[in-house]
Amino acid sequence: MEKININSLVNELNLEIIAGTAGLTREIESKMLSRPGLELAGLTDFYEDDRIQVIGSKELAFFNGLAASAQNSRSEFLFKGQTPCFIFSNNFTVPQVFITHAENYQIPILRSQKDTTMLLNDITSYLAEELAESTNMHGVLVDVHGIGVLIRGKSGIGKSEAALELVNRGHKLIADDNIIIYEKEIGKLVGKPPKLLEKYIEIRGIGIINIVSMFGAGSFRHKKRISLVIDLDLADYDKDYDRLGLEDAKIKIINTEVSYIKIPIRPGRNMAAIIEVAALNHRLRYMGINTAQEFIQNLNAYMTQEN
Amino acid sequence: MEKKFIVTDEAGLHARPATKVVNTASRFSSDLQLEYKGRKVNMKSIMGVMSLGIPQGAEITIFAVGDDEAEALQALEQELKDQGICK
Repeated sequence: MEKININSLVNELNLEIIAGTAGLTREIESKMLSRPGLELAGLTDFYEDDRIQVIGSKELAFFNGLAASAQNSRSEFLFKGQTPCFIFSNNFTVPQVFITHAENYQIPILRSQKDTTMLLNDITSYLAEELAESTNMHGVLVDVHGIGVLIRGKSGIGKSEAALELVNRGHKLIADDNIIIYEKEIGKLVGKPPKLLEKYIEIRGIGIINIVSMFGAGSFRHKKRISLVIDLDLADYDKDYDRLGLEDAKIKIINTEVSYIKIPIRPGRNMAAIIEVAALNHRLRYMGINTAQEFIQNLNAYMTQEN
Repeated sequence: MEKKFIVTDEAGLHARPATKVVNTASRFSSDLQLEYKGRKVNMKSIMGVMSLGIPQGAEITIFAVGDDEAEALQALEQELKDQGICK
């Protein structure tokens, strides 16, 4: 189970720390958020205390209208669980009772400039990304005409060289060698490089190359959705390769199925051109144009006509 | 097959010794993986190995699967010790 701590949330979303600094190392495990309006109104049966609590104008306006004793007891209730932190939107003034409880219970109170809806969006999308199920894989990830192509294959088969050639043709590198893949939601895999490898690619005989200083800022992307997986395979013609392109193979990564093709390689085959065409073909299919089927239809029509 | 090591070099598994280890790994046909903190990388890839940023004191595991797994593991162990990276 992935976890992140409050500090990274603060840095990523540009939040201001109001109180409860002692709790900044607390960990967030839930992707969900809670708006504790009902709890402030006194209905405490459904409190989701494993979630970040977001307090916006409605909660705050209601809270400020309560008698002092109710303010104290109802806000204290919120701190008694395992809540990771509280976030106030709209730069609202945090009531003093909240600050007192935050210090006592060592649970941070944070504040954002943004209005509640925007803030909820930002937090949800950040948590979905950070807490997503993830794995890492050996290969290179390239953005070819806007399609995220994951190229895999044995060490030394020429993945990095193919990526370099693609970058040379104006496509974008995301990650070379080691790719962190996370599932933002089912059906949506995103790949990115480990921090240390960002922008770098290794070419045997030359060494480590910085893609951005060599090919410019346009040749690199931080992350990209993966739509196609290509396995490079040393040509072995005892194996069956798809000759027509009729098969619609899929491969499962985490819980998501992604289109998959296997390409036999041999010295002298221009891998970059083949990968480019594979990506474009994938895109055509997505747009409803299936060349292999079209060809088979033509063939069938021709044969019925002849007979 | 797998084997655990503790990194003793004070600079951790830094660039130069990593290169030697990767070159050693590349001599074998077995599938060789290096694991640190739950992340596994291909040991024949210098970028992969360095991306783990392995510091002194780290516990690392080498996994070897293939025809020459025993020889590979032995050669890697020898290399790690000769380089003074692990004991």
